[in-house]
This record gives sequence, structure tokens and C-alpha cells, in this order.
Amino acid sequence: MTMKALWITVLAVGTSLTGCSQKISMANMPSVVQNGLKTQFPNAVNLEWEKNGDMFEAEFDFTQQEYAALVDATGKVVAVKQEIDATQLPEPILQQIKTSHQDYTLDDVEKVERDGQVLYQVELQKTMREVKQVYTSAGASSSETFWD
Amino acid sequence: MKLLNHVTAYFAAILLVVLTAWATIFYYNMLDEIYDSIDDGLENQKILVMQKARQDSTVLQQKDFDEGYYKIRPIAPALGHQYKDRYQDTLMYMQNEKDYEPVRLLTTVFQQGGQYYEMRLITSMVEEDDLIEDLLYSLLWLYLGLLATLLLLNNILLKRIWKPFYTLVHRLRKFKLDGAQPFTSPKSKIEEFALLGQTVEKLLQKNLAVYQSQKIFIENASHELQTPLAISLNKLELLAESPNLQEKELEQIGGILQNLERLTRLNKSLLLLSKIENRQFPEEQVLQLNATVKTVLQDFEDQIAYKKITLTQELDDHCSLTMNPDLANMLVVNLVKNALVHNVQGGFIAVRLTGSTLTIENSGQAAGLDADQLFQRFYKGSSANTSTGLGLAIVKAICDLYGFTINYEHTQSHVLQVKFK
Repeated sequence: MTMKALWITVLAVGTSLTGCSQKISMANMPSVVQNGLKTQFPNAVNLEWEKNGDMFEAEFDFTQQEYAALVDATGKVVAVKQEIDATQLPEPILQQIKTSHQDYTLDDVEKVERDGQVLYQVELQKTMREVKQVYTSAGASSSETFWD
Repeated sequence: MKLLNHVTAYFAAILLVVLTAWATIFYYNMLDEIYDSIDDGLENQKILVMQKARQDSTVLQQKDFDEGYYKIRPIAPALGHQYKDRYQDTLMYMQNEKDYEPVRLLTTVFQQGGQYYEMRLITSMVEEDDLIEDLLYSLLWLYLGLLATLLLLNNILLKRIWKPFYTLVHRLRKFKLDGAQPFTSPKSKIEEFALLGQTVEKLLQKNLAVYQSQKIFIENASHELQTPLAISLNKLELLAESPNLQEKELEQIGGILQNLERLTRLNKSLLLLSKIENRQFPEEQVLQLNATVKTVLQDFEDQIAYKKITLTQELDDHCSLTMNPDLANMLVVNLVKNALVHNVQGGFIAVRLTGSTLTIENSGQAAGLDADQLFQRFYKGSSANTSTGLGLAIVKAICDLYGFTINYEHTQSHVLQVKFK
């Protein structure tokens, strides 16, 4: 019994730590939201939905790359995030990183499109340290929050 | 019930249970798989229609299933928000089939240009009862096929495996302690059968050794008794001839002589029995039994006449046997002697010989004899002290040696019948 109690505690703590987003099964997804995403990404696979406030966040694979998308309640795709290769980063950003974080290594690189503007999210690593940065395509630091 | 059939029966029962369980699971898995693929198809169609609607707004005018697999109608946003994708089994009237057919229906909502639309898509369904029927039939065939395979396996494989066992049982059935055939256990690669065979063989060897030593003891004893008996008889006869003997002493000597002679007969009979059982009469020839019977009856003529016995004979002269002539003689002698000794004054003896039987019928004491004990050694039906009780035992031993059967019946008279075939 004590083991069970322990597990329940662990689970409870675990779920509370994931914050305000909660997983939603496909059957419980509003049709409008799903169809909004599907018309844009018809061949999405391994689709998983989470509810984030009044927005829905979808994680899926599309053309063999990892994607994430924010969809509002009317089915409009508000933002799309895709993993890209470090070599695909625009030159200004690469230069910027070399100067401001020269002894860091590039880890994850993501391209974010929101309201027609394109941003790049970069995770930089150094021993025991990790920095997350958002850049515009011109290489300037953006004030936008990092979309995890 | 044979072991093989036992195994088959158990297997059949177990198979039935296992297959039924398996079929149920299989059926639901199949159904699940079918639904999955149908629903995936619907999902695909949905996406295609939505993409088409973006390029060509006339798609949104499709109000009925008439010539398509979808219909669309605008709905209020408040309502539209509550829709979740829903898959249903339903029936729909099909023009070409003129009947209601099962269809899978997907209801969904999408938004285009700020307007919400409800879309319904259909696709034809596999008919479940058809599926079940097909599955049942194929399952039945599978079951029958498995059973047939099992029977085949049992009757070919298991029979071969169990062969040493059956051979062993067969040999044990045929084995006789006093038989000439030694027992050998059948060869087998299977450890258990080999062990069984060896164990039985050892057991029988021990028994045989004991039996043999007993038999040798009896033979030796009766053989060694011959000489002192002969000497005693001789000396008594000499003593009886001595001149100065009283009447009483002579009578006593006579009594002793009679008993000693009986002892000698006993001994000879016992020896004969042992010899027969040890098969010490190897030489055989084809002989006509009617000749043997005739000579024996001639030999007993005096005694038959003395007892005033009526003798009738019906002798077929087509009874030829392959056997030892001495034993043939002994067989007939003992039967006739038996009929004579246990007869009554003025009785009758009837001897009948056919191609395959020898029957001797005689009058005697009114009561029947115990057929089981009749052929045992030293069994005496009457209290005739001249009989050794070994005559019929000798007859039986000879019959066993040549595979004849002997039967005793008591109706008005005593009947002994030997069947040669």
C-alpha cells in the first residue's frame, strides 16, 4: 500500500509540474480545431494535442521533421514551429552567436512562424549551462518569449 | 479405450476450447483492424474535401449524398464548437442494391471564411454477419483439419512409438514358463520401454531359474528312486519264495509288494510327465490314429471282458496326425484305461474317432467330476486305489504339447473329447 501511495504522490507531483497544459485524446478534440490543422498539414502523423489556455497545441511529424502548431478555437493555425538543421540558420544569426556566445555549442534549432513573421529559437550549451535565445532573421535578439 | 484414442479425445476437447477462444479474439482484432482502416479512409476523404472546398466553394453547396459520399451544411458557430469527430455505424438506403446497407458515417465540423460547416461523410461497410459466417466456416474447416491431422499423427506416429510396448505385451501373452521359447524383450530406443522390457526379462529369468531347478529336482528324485525300488521289489520277491514263511507273513509281504509296485508306477508316470513337459520326445511322424486306437483296445480286451463291459467303436480311418508315436499310444492308452478303471461292472465304453476328434464315453459313478481339477496331477474322482491320479495329467500334457484341446462333459455318462485341430 505504501508503494501505491508513493506512486500516486509521484504521479500527482509529476502532473502538477507539467503546468497548465493538459493532453487531450483525439476523440475529445473539437472538430473545428482538428480540421483547421489538417487542411494545412494533411499528412501529419503521430499527432498529439494539448490544451493551453484557450489555445490548442499540436505536436506532430510532417515530412519527417518534428513540428508543433498553435491552433485557436476557430481552427485557425496561429503559429507553427519546426525543427531545422543548424546549417539552415540565416548567416546573420550565426555571426551573432559567434560573437556573443563564442564558447557555446548549438543544440536545438527551431524556426517559428507567427503572424507572418519568422523567428529562430536556438538552444546554446556550455558545460553545466544552457541558454535559450530567440532571434529575428536579421540576427537581432527578439523580445518574443521562447516557445518550448 | 485405447491410449491413442484417449490422447486424441483429450486433444480434440482442448483444441475446441482453445480454437473457440482464439477465434473470438481473432474476430475482434479483425473487426478492430477493419474499423481502423475504414476510419482512416474517412479521415483522408475529409481532408481532401476540405482542401477542395478551399479552392472551389461549390463543394460547400453539396446538400445531399445523391451523387457523392459527403454532404455539407452551414451551422451556427456556437454549435460548431461543440462538435467532436464522430464515427458511427448506420444504415443507408442504397439505390443500386434497393436495400438498406450498413455504412460508416463520419460527422465533423470545419470552418472556412469565418463560416462553420457541418460535414457528413459515408463509406460502405463490411457486413459483420458475413464476416462472422466466413470466420466460423473457416474455423470449422481448421478444426476438422487439425483433428484429421491429429488422428493421422496418432495412428502413424504414436503407433510407431508405442510399437515396442505392444510387442512386449504380445510376447508376454505367448510366453509360458514351461515353453521352449525363451523370452526376449523387444529392442527400443525409448528409454522407458527399454527399461520395462529389461525389467520384465529379468523377472522372468528369475522365475525360469526357479522353475527349472524345481523341475530338475523332481526328475532327479524320481529317477534316483527307481533303483532302490527295483532292489526292494527283487528282495521282497526272493523273501516271499523262502520256504519257512507263515501265512500271515506272506500276506504282509504281498501288501508291501503291492504298495511298492504302485510307487514304481507313480514314479514312472511322474518321469513321463516331466519328459513330456521337457519335450524329450522330439521325433515325429505322420501316423494313422485309428490303427493306434485299434491296437490299444485289443490290448485291453481281457480287462474289458473281465468287467463285462460293452465296447462300441466307430473309427474313421482318415485321422492322420503328425506326432510322436509313443506319445500317441500313451494318449490313447491313458484315455481307455481311465474309462475302464472308473467304470462299473457291466457298464459300457464308446470310442468314436472322426477326422479331427477322439471321443471316449463311458458309464461310471452318477456324479459329474470337477472339470477344472480333472486334469490336475493326483486328482482322483473315485477312490480306486489302483489309480495313480496321473493318467489324465499325462493326457493333458500331451495335448498341450501338440496344441490339442481336451474337454470333459457329464450328461448321463462321462465324455472326454480331444480336438486335434
